[in-house]
Amino acid sequence: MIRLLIEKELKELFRTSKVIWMLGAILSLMFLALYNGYAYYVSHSSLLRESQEVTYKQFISQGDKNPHLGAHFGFYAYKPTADMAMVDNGIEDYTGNSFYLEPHKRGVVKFKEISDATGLRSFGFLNIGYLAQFILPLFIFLITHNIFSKEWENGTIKLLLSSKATTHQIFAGKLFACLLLVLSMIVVIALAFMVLLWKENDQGSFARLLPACGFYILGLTLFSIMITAIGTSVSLLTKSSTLSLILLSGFWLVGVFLLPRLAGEVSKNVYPSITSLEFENKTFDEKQYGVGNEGHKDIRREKLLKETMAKYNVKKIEDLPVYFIPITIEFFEESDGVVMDRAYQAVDENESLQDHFVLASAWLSPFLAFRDFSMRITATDMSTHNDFTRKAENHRRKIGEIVDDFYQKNTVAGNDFWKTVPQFSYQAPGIGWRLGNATHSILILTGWMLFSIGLMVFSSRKMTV
Amino acid sequence: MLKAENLTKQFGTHTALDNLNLEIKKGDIYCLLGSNGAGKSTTINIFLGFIPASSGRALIDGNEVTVNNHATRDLVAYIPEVVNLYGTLTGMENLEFFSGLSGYNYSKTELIQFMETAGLQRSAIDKRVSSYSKGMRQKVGIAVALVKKAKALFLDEPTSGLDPHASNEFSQIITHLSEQGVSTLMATHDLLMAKNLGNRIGIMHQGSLKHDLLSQEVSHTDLTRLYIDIVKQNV
Repeated sequence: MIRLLIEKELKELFRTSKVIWMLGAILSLMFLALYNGYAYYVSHSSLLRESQEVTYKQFISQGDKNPHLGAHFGFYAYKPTADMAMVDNGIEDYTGNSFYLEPHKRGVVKFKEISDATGLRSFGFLNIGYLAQFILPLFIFLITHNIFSKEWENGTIKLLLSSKATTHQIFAGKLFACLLLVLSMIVVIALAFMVLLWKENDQGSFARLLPACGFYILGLTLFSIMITAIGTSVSLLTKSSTLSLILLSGFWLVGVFLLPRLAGEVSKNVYPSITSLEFENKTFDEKQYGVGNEGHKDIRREKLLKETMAKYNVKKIEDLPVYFIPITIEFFEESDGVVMDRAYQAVDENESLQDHFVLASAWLSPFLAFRDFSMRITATDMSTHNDFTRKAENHRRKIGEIVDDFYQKNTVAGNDFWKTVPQFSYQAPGIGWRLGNATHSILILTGWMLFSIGLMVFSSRKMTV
Repeated sequence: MLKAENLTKQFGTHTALDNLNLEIKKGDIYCLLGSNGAGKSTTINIFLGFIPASSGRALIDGNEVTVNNHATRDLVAYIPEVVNLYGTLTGMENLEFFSGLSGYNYSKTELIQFMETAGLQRSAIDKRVSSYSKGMRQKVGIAVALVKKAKALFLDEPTSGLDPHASNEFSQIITHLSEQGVSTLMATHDLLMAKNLGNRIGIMHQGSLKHDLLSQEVSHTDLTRLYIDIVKQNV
């Protein structure tokens, strides 16, 4: 019975010219999105890999230099293009991709892609993530908005309801017909994505990426099912194609464009961002006097000198068996590090509060929840970026320690020493960490899924003439 | 076969059907006459399970419609005033779909036979329904009723807008079904058709059954007079 209903719905859909045009449009967009994402991934990942190699080679072959001066030459730690950026590049364009590893100087992430982009980029970057979050729901609503209402408008509902088919079977038939159309597109996306990923990765990397890909595709599938269920239920409840189209497109418009912007603006008012001036002032004062107001830098340097001389049991600085300058550098590197860690933690926490506020509004917009889920699973979100900056900063400090230890006993460093400074490499955390990060959005999507199930049950009871 | 026991339907404060008692036996063709709003379509809609009765019972072959709607759906077929079908499907595909929904799996040859019995020309069967005339759609509607092998047929103004030839063809099919034991409840404004086709005639007014007549016992003139007298009460 359900198979019969599915076949009838699909026949009707495929014989409707507007559906054929829509399908053609979305398929074209889908392949364009796949190509765009793939081109972005390939060009960026190779560029970043090459840049990191070049700057590191320059650093380790800089020749004989004072270790301190040579260390300041520094090199770049590039955040590799996220392994699933061809699906969703999330906020990658806005966060920057390179961290300057210069000992004794806190690094910041530079080179934001968006700074080189034209104004057109403000409309978003067409990749599969964008298609799935914004265009696919609209397509689903356009397909489903009249899937039931047409029965009332064409007057076929009486014949349908006087048949042997139950209301549940009729609902299932229509829902599954729409799902067949939507899910077949997801299958094409998934297959194409897998092929491209396999092409760009070795066997080990591909196997490592499979769980994240699996969860992304599962999430996309469930999200699409939920949107289809909502569209179908609204079509049944309104019994009017015009009304259901207005309701569904309004829901889409508010959920995709208005709500995220509104929530973003409100979150900035509720949790005001720390300005660079406030940041500079606070960190400058704390660097000068210490986090616990331990005293001015000069006083702390004097104290350190006394402690160092006591340690080596000498009375004068000239009698020290090691150079004192690297010891002060290392001391203040640690002390300033605590200051900067606190300051960056405050920034991160504030950003996190803003993010949570915006994400909370996803209880009103499943599109927003899926966007968050998508970015977290593809590791193109803020948490992954913060993870990269943390690891890059740790690496920078490690270089500082290596150089300072060497500098205490040597005034000249050659290539043999520079080669002992390790190259930086970053790999985004695995699927467990990503899923942990996405808990909030998964919870919201589960809530929406339960809502859509409730809506289906409620609406199918309203299937009367 | 069909039984209404104290059937009442209220829409808010308006009583659309007021304590209707009616029994239609196997093979009967019962024509319900009445002006607009008399309660004819409401009666049919309750029997089809489209709307629930406010009180009373509607029974089909002993099964109460509201209690056992799934079972009663198996027994009935419905032809509305305008048979609305799926315009993008052909007549054959529509028939195939509705016969499938009724649980039958006919071969294409059998379905063509049903179409021909219903009076649809062979050449029209594989054309899309969007190109069909009202009469042609009505014939597909009859074919849908035929494939279902329904025991009870509900017709709501079925010949309205049909040309005399098509209307006559339609009457012949209903008579043929009646001979095979199918009970028919038909709402109509057409007094002549009611007199010629039905073996029983009911005249409804403001939700009540005012007259329950045997067709052979009433002349066309008397039927017209009775009908006009009832309708006049409303003026």
